[in-house]
Parts: sequence; structure tokens; C-alpha cells
Amino acid sequence: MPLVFAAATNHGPGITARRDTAPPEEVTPFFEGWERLHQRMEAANLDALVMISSDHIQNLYMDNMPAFIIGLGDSFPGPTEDEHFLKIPKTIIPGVPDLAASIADEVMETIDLAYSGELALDHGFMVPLHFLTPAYDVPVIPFIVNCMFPPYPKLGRSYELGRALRRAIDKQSQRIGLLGTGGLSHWPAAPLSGKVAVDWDKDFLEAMVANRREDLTRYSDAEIERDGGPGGHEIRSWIAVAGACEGSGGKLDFYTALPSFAIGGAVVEMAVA
Amino acid sequence: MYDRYGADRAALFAEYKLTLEEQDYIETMNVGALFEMGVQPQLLAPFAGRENIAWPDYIKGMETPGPLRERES
Ligand SMILES: [Fe+2]
Repeated sequence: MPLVFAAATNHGPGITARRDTAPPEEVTPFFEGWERLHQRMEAANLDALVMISSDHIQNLYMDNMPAFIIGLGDSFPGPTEDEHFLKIPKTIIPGVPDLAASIADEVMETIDLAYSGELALDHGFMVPLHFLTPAYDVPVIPFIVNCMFPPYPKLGRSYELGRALRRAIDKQSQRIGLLGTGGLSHWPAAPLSGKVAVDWDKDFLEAMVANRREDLTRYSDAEIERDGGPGGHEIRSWIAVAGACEGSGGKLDFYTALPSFAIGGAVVEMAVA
Repeated sequence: MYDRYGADRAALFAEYKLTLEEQDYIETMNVGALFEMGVQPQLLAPFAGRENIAWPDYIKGMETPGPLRERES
């Protein structure tokens, strides 16, 4: 069955870690937007959710850093972060290893993937899942894109990963959704934490909604770092979702700057027809 | 690693060939100095959390220049 749902949104740990101390007028529109996304994902009646995120030094380090890695496990422990920090209880997220292996096999026609049977899920997966599939009843197939340590995969390769994923997903019989998480502009855990580059975010979102590949992939790593912050590298997850929906545009559900969560927050849902 | 930091700190420092200055910044949780020496902030923040440093104090620490930033300014 063809891909049935595709979207991209945030995953900053502040969303859960600092929810209680954030001004409600700042963060309520964000949580309302995520509730709408939750409803739409539920309506999509997914058999499995392919997720794309960065890793935050929880699974991968500089001794062995793949550009792209898929988790083939039958389940994934998460979150890796301390509960008293992230405020999400530790749990086990179900995987779907046969389907993951089948998707990996097709993706590898055009993209060489690393794979692991032992990935754990950090906030990049767990923060959105906590709100979007709160019963954790949709099996997950996690992909990690290196957004943490240079040299990073080129933005165009993220787009190509998305195209390969679409080809692989469309070959399956299950109802599969795709969710990219990360960004937008942010300076995670750094002295500039809390800064949000609104214009940079809006430029990117405009290109995302129109799915203009040349604009989505035009940034150099130095430009991302300067204008979108070190966390801006996570646009790679969004770009992969755009690649999976090549030829179709998307709809911006909302954009809002969230200094309390140290991110530019947004949801874009892409057309999958 | 974090357990060893608690139990066997001297051996851990020696294994990673940390200078006395680096050891001092870690033990006093001088996050601003560690950051400018190149420690990835997303590694530093959870470490600070485990050392019971509250988020506002962590961010304040990051904004406080250590010796490298002071030399530049
Ligand atoms: Fe992230």
C-alpha cells in the first residue's frame, strides 16, 4: 500500500522537560497543534510509523558515526534520558523487524544504510511519540541521520534517502506513515539556547511546503550553523520527508517561536497522493 | 562511564589523558570553560543534569566566559 501519511515536526527535549515552567500563552498553540497532528495520525490508522531523527550522543559517537542508520530491532527501549530530566517514563516501543528489513532492503538499492538491532530511542523519537502515539501502540521503524558531528551527510542525500524510503514503503502491504523530527532553528544546550531564528525558519518552511528541492538543499553546513544554529542541521529529517513526497507539496499547520523550549516549532503535513 | 566517574575518577581521567586544567573544569562543573574547549553542549547538558545543576544555572554557566573567551575579548 502506498505511503498513507507524512509529516515533519520538532522534538526538542524542552517540550517535555520544561513544559511546566513555560508560559502557557507561549506554548499552548504548540501543544494544540500537536493534538491536531495526533488526531490526524490516529485517523490514518497506521500499522507502522517510520521515523527519522538525529541521535543526541545516545547511540552513536565519533568512534563510529554512520550517515544514515535504520533500527531493525523487534523493540526499542526509550527514552535513553533520565526520567527526572525528560519527564517521560522509561518504556519499550514495539518494532516490526520483518517490515523494517524489507524497507531497508529496498532502500539499499540506492542508499547504503548502516543498521542496528540494538538502537535505543532518545528524545528525538520519544518526545513526539509521547504526544502523537501516546499509547505507544504503533510499531516504529527508526532512522537516524547524523546531524551531530561533521562531516554530515549532504542535504541532497537526505532528499535521496526520502525518495528511496518512499519507493520502499510503497512496496509494502501495510499502512505506513512517515514522520521526520528535529529543528527548526535552535542552539541546543548552548549559550544561545532560547534563540529562535524566525526568518530562517520561515524561509525553510516555505520551501518545505512547496517541496522545492533546490531551495531545501541550498544551505551549506556553515550557513546552517550560523543562521539556524547547531540544531538547524536537523532540517535533514524534514528534507528526507520532502524527498519521500517528491512532486507533492505540503501544508503548514502552524509555526511558532518557542524560546522556552529553545526551538522554532512547526508541523508540516505533506500530501502523499 | 558515569558510574566510573563516581567510583574511579582518577583512573578515568588518566585513561582519557585529561590535563589538570580539564580535570578541574569537570570537577567544578565549569560548563562555560568546558564548552569553549570544545565539549559538545548536548553531552555537557545531561552531565550537568546528573550533577544536579538546574537548567537555568546550566545556561548561566554556559554564558559565563571561561579563560578562552576571556582571552578573545
Ligand atoms: Fe535534536
